Amino acid sequence: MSELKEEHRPKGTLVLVYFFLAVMVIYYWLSWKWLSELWLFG
Amino acid sequence: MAAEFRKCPTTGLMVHLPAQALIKINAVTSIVFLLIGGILALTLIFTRWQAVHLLPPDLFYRFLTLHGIAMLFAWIVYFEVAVLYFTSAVLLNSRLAAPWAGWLGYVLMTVGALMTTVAILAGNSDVMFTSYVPLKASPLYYLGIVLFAVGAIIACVLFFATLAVAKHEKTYEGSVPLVTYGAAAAAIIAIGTLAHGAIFYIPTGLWAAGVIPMMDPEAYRLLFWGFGHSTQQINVAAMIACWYALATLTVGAQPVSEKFSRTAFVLYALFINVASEHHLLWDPGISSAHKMWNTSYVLHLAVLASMMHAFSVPACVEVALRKKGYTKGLFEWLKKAPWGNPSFSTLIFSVAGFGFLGGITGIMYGTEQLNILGHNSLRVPGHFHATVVIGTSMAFMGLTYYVLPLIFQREVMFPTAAKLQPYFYGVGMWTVSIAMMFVGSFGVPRRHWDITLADAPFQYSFGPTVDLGMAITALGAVLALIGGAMFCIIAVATVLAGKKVNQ
Repeated sequence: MSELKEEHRPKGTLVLVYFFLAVMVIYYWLSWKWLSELWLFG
Repeated sequence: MAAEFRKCPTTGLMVHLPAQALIKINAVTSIVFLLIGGILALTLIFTRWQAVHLLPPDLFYRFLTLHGIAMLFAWIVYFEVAVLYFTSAVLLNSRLAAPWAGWLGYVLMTVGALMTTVAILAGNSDVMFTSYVPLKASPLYYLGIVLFAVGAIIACVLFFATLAVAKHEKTYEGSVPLVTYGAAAAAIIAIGTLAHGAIFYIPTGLWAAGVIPMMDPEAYRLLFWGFGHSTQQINVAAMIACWYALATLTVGAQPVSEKFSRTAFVLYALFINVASEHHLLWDPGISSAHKMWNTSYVLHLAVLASMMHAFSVPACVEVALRKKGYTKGLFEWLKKAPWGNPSFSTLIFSVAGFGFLGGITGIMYGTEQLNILGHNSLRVPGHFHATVVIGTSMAFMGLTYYVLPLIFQREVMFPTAAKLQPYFYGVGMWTVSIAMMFVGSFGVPRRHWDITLADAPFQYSFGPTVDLGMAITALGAVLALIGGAMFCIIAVATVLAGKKVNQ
C-alpha cells in the first residue's frame, strides 16, 4: 500500500468501510434497544 | 502428454483437457440444480404469501426440503468442485493428478443427489434441510447425502493432489496464486465439514432403517451444524476466492496486500468451522459459557477475516481503476467502472449484499442475547439468502461469464440479456432478503405453511404490514426468478449453441 502513488490510494474504499461500520453500529444499537423493549427493561 | 493440453488464446494458460471436461460436467450439473431449486423457490414464496397460498402443506414441506438440497448442496457444491479443478489444474498450468478420481467423485455425487431427490419426491422424507431428529426420512435420503459427501471429499483430495503434482513438476513459480490459496482454504474447511456429515448422517440413516434404536436430538443438532453451517463456510471461502478472480478478470486488479488477504484465509481455515454453535443459542443442552465462547470469541475471529476481505477486494478494484486514470474525487472510479460487464456487476452485488445484508445481520443473530429477537423467524432466511444467494450464488454466476469463453470456448450468447441479468437477480434477491428480515422482525416464523394459523386451537393475526411485506417478498422472488432463468438460458444456450471462440 505504501508503494502506491497518492492518487492511486483507495480513499473511496476507506469511506465505504467507515459507512459499513456506521451501519453496523447503528443496527447493533437498535437491536439491543429492541431487545430491552421486548424484555420490558426500556 | 502434450496432446492432453491446449493453450488458452486469452490467458496463455495450459488447460489440461481431462480437467476441462470435469469442470464442464460439474458446472453444467450445478446449473441444472440451480434451475430446479429456483422454480421450487417460487412455489414456496407464493405459498408463504397468504393471498396466494399456492401449495398444500405436504407439498410445501416436500418442496422446501428439495429446495434446500438442490440449492445448498447440489448447485453450490458442484460449482465449487468445478472451481477446485479450475484453480488447481488450470491456474497452475498443471495436469489433474487423477482424472479417474474426479469422475468417480462426480458419479458418487450424482448418484447421491439423485437418491436423495427421489427419496424426497417419494413423499416419505419431508424433513427439510436440517432433518432434525426425531423427524425421520427414508434411509435412502441419508445414504444419498453420504454418497454425495464422499464424492465431494474425493474432489477435495484430488485438488490437493493436483497442487502437489504442480509443485513437484514445477508448473508455476513462487507461491500459488491468491485465488488458488482461497480455494485451498475452502477445501480444508470442506474436508472437516464433510467428515462431520459422515459422523452423524451414517448413524441417523441406520436409525431410520431401524438398526439403531434411538438418536440423541441434541447430539444430532450439534453435529448437524458442524456440517450444515460449515458447508456455508466452504461457500464463503470459495466465494471470496471468486471475488479476487473476478476483480482481476474484470478490471485487472491485483491484491493490495497478498499477506493481508492470505492471513484472512488462514483465519477462516482455523476458526470458521468452530463457530457453528450460533444455531444452538437457545438449545438447553449446551452451557451458556460454551455458547458465548464459541459465538462471541471464535465467531468474531472468523468475522474479522470477512471484514479484511471486505476491505481488500473493493480496495484492489479501486486501485486498479484509479491506475486507469479515474482519480477524480473519492468515487470517480466507481462511476466509471464497467457496470455493463455482468461479471463486474455481479461482483459488486455480491460484495455489498454479503457485507451489508448478510454480514451485519449475521453478527447480530450470532450474539446470544440478540438471537432471541429473530430466532426461528423469517429474519434468519432473510440473512442467509443474503449470504448464500446474493453473496455466493452471484459470485459463481459472475465467474460463469468467464468460464464459458475460457473453458467451454464459446462466446456468451445474448450479450444484452447477460448485461441485464445481474440487475434482475440482484435487485430481486436484495428485495427478498430485506423483506424477509422485515417481516421476521414482526415475529413471522420461518418454515411455516400457514401464518394465519387457520387450523390451530388459537388464532393470531400478523396484520396488514406483514401481508404487504410478504407480497414484496413475492415480487422480489419473481424478479430474481426472471434473473435466474436468464442466467440458466444464457449459460445453457452458450454451451449448446454458442459460437466457438477460436473460429
